Amino acid sequence: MVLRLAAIPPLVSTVVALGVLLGSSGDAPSLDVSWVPGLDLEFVFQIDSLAALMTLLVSGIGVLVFVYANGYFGPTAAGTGRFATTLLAFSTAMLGLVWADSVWTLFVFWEATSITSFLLVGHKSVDAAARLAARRALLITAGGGLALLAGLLILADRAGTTRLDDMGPVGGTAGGVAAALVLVAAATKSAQFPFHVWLPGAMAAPTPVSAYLHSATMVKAGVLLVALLGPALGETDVWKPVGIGFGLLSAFWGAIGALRHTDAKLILAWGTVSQLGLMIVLLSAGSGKAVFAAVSLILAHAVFKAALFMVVGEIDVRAGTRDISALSGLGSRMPLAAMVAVVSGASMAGVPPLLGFTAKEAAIEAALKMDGLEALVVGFAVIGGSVLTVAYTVRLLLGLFGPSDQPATDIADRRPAMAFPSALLAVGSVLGYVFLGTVNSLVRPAAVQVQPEAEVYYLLRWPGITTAFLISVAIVVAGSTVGWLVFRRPLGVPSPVGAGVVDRGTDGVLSVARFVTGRVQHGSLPVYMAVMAMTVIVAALPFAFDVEPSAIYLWDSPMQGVLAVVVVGAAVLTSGMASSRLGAALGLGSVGVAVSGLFVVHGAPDLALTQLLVETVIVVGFVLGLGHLTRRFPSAKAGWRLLRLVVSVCVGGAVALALASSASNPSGVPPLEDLTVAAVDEGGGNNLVNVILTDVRALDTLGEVVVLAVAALGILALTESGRSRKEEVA
Amino acid sequence: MTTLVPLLVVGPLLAAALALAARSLGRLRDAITLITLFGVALGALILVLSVNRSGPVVVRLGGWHPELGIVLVADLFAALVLLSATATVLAVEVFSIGQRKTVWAASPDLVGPLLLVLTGGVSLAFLTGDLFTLFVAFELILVSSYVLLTHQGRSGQVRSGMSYVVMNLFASTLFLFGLAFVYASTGTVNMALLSERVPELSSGTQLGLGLWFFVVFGTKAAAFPLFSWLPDSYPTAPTTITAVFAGLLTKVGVYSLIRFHTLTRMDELGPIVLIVAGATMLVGVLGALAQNDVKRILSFHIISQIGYMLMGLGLFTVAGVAGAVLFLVHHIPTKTLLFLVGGMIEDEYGTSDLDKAGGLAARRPILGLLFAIPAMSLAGLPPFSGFVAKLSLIRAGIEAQSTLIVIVALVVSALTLLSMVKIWLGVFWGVDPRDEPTELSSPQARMLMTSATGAAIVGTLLVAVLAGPLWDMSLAAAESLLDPSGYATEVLR
Repeated sequence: MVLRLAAIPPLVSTVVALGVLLGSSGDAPSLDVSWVPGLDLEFVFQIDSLAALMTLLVSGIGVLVFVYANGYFGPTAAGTGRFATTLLAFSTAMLGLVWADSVWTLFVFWEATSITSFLLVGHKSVDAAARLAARRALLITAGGGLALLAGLLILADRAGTTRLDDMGPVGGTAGGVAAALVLVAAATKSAQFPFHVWLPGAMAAPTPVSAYLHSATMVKAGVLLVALLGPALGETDVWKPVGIGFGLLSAFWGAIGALRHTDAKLILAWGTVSQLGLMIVLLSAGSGKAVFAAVSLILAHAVFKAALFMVVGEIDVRAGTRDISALSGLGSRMPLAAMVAVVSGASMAGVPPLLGFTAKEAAIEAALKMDGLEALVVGFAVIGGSVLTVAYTVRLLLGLFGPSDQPATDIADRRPAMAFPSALLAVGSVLGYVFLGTVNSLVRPAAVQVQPEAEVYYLLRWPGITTAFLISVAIVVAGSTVGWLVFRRPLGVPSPVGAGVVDRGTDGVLSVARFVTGRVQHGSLPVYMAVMAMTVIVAALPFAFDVEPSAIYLWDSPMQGVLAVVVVGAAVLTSGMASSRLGAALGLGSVGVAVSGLFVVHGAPDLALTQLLVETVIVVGFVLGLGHLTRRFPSAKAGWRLLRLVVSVCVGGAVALALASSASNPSGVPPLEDLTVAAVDEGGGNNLVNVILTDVRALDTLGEVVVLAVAALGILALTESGRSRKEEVA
Repeated sequence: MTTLVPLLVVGPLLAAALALAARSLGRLRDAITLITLFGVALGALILVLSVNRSGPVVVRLGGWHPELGIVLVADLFAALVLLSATATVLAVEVFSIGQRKTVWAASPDLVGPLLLVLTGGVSLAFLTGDLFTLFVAFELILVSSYVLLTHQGRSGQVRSGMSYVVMNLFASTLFLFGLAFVYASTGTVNMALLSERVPELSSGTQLGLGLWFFVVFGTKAAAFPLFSWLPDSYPTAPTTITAVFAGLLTKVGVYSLIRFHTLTRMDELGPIVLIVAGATMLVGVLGALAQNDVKRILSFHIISQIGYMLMGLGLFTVAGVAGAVLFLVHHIPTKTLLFLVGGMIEDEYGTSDLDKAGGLAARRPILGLLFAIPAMSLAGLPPFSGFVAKLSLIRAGIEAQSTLIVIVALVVSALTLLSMVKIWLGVFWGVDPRDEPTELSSPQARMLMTSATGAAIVGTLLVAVLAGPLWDMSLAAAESLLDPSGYATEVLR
């Protein structure tokens, strides 16, 4: 029920998109919401031709996927509410992405699709493999997101605008860096080699998710990014070689992967890597015809690949497995599914009279129209990739529905909600060929938006006996042969090397983290203190450059010297030598008494009295508290004691140095005279210290009073909790 | 306004006394605490609006000239951070009233008054225009937080409270020394006067002062390598306490760093600050990844995020400092919230250990949402406030051509996401390891906690929605921070 309700929003936006595409109104609908103008963050949407085409895919297939999911999960499954919500959130994010007309709007939704994809891949979260796959997918795509963030920042800075519409070509080193970053981002999202490793793992998601996110829509986001930013970054030195490189490697490696696996879903996933690679090659090449072919492929691929996923999902649910080596006799038991799969597979392989054929034909022609090395490379990618595509398609179809010497697989009852959407999509592949004019009118404006030279191209229903057509025929023949041969002789199922590397890498980061943290945060307070003290010593070094020896004199009166010796001596004895706690407390007390002596010499008897009082209280407190502890300090190693001594002396030296430096060239003097006069005139008191404490700086006094009160409260609370604990024990 | 500003400092302190007097009258005590915190937050909001419209407010306490007495200065930087901080404390107090009904509760008769003292101290730290008073504010914050940390008297708390209090007291001592250096070399502790007199010092002394206070405030802010007190002590406290600490304490250190180092024009320290920033980000996030406990992960993240704020300062550009300001404003509520959710997780499983939790998303989807939003914000994902803050900093870094720190910031944000995923995988996905989930808290308590957290989430979402005006204000704040002559004129005229 939830799933059915959730199908309504995409249905609405499909209708809107169709309206835009087929309507004749000149201006594309747009919306502009400002967010952080100071950072050029804004939400700008514009449903232009490319956006409308993508909307048709996102929402149209979305509706079908919701219907399909209804059948996939059945009426009893738990968590469908959560699933429907997340899937709808994804669908919304994806629409935001394709409608975006500002790089930051694009980025916001780009990341949102990564997050929703993570949640959907991990939907069966009790399954550890699903959790791991979700983590892998998120880390790779989010890592790409960071590259995109940096790339877009540089691009927007260079281009002087964040609007995709207004972006002119950008060059230079900065442009090159931006291009590389953007391409890496696209490669992570569109599962291009070597970032493709997350996609096979993502097949742990429920099949509706695979059909929707991981074939028809989200993985196209990278392709879309290359299309959208091609006009701005296409002229950098980096764009073409890197883009074509990613695409070429993926086209082949993906197809090879598809030939080796026996899990039908994995075959489709690897096939997606390959097909996306082809689109990236064409878009990076960037000629009018190539862009036109790429856009046609986006459309055709979404239609046939979603249908194939749906069929595989249906087989999985009804037969209990989707391994092509375990299935048998489904051709006769699931005739509708078989028909859908054959039609969609044929479209994928580029066989007429289907939509995929015309798209592939355009791609071949695009390659033929190029010159030199580019023609060679692109041609190699298109033709080689297509041969392998035909091969794995043949192998997949034979595996699913072909003859087998095993007994026929048992299958469960038909689920109409699953069969209907895939059938509709298969019909779409046929109708696309029949109404090629309409398809043309969808594709061409979208392609023109990316590359104006695409204006002159159109899809051909029947090209005649051209070079391209002959190549096409050769591809199908060669591919079928390879596919048939490979089907007869199963290759070993490869272990997911790349995915393992990513997981081990992630775990490696975690163990490095544990190692570093164990070293840094070891829990020893004395070591922390030593680190802190050493930092202080380093921080005080600059003071050494500005000490004026002439500004330093030993004392105002010799008595200060005597007291200083007492203070320092008591401190050294206490910290360095004392081994009993009582001795340390008494030593501290004598430091304090000597300090109050310094106050007397300075002529502040009231301060001296206060200090004496405080010292007495502290020593008494210490003595009382020591009753609970052992008499002696725990013994320390000689080396550690030496270090403590050195650090203490250095800290003392640092403070002395800093004071000397501060007093050397003062840039102001304390306003003693003003204060003395003001204390009497305005403060109404003759004791300057009293006036300072109670009037001039009364707020400080208030603060310190509160500090004392809170400290007292804390002690009270601790003793109370100690007492209540004892009572509990008793 | 001249009444409001001192009231924001003294009000909470007075209310603390009242609440303490009423400690045995539960409702009255709660009412005093809540009303005061609400009043302070409201006051901070009024202050932000007023300062944004008509410039900083300067209050000479007792009418004394800044050369002699204390001034309070509410400029845009202070007001913004104050608003973010006080609103956060308010949310935590509501949460703590809910949590009281659970076994994890901190004892209420002390928490209310102490939170008020803490708030007073934090207000004072943000509003003071006097370096010595800043020291007093630090004392207030330190003593009240230490008592909050240890008042339950559990042995683990007292032990780990030791690192906290000893390192921070050492930093306070260094602060006191620093005050002596400053007074000896400039004859004043008034910040406006310092902004004129420190740059006149010879370069070695200047640099020395800058580094010295970098150590002092860096310890308070938990910057590398002075952060060790934080991860040991924070996770042991009751959730509400940790949540407040997470939001406020280190941020006072960052605030003071930004304030002092821009006011005294320590641009020369930029590269050093950037190195420390990078190291802090990295070590913090690695620490987080190494943990297997929600509260410990979150504690280490505080450190990592401090690095981002330092990055903004270290750039010493208007955009960078503005980024740091916005990051502060975003970080305070977001971080606190995550700890509150961490507390609710603890409440659910009786522990915050990742291995002993699982499957919570299915059981309590709301809690999943409450965690996911601030977690994504923390990792800098759009469209949340953390994204805007991170973007502003990275943009500033690129503009200043500090490529290295930009790369570190980006890598760290990926690692941050990884650690959030770790929590998500451990707590919200997977299988509940308990055979039979027992309810550790009553539905009413959960209700109150959930709604307090929910309200706070709305607060952080507001930071994202209002990021436009907030960024403009951060920019204005940064402009005046980097041109302190305006501040001095305002204070001294």
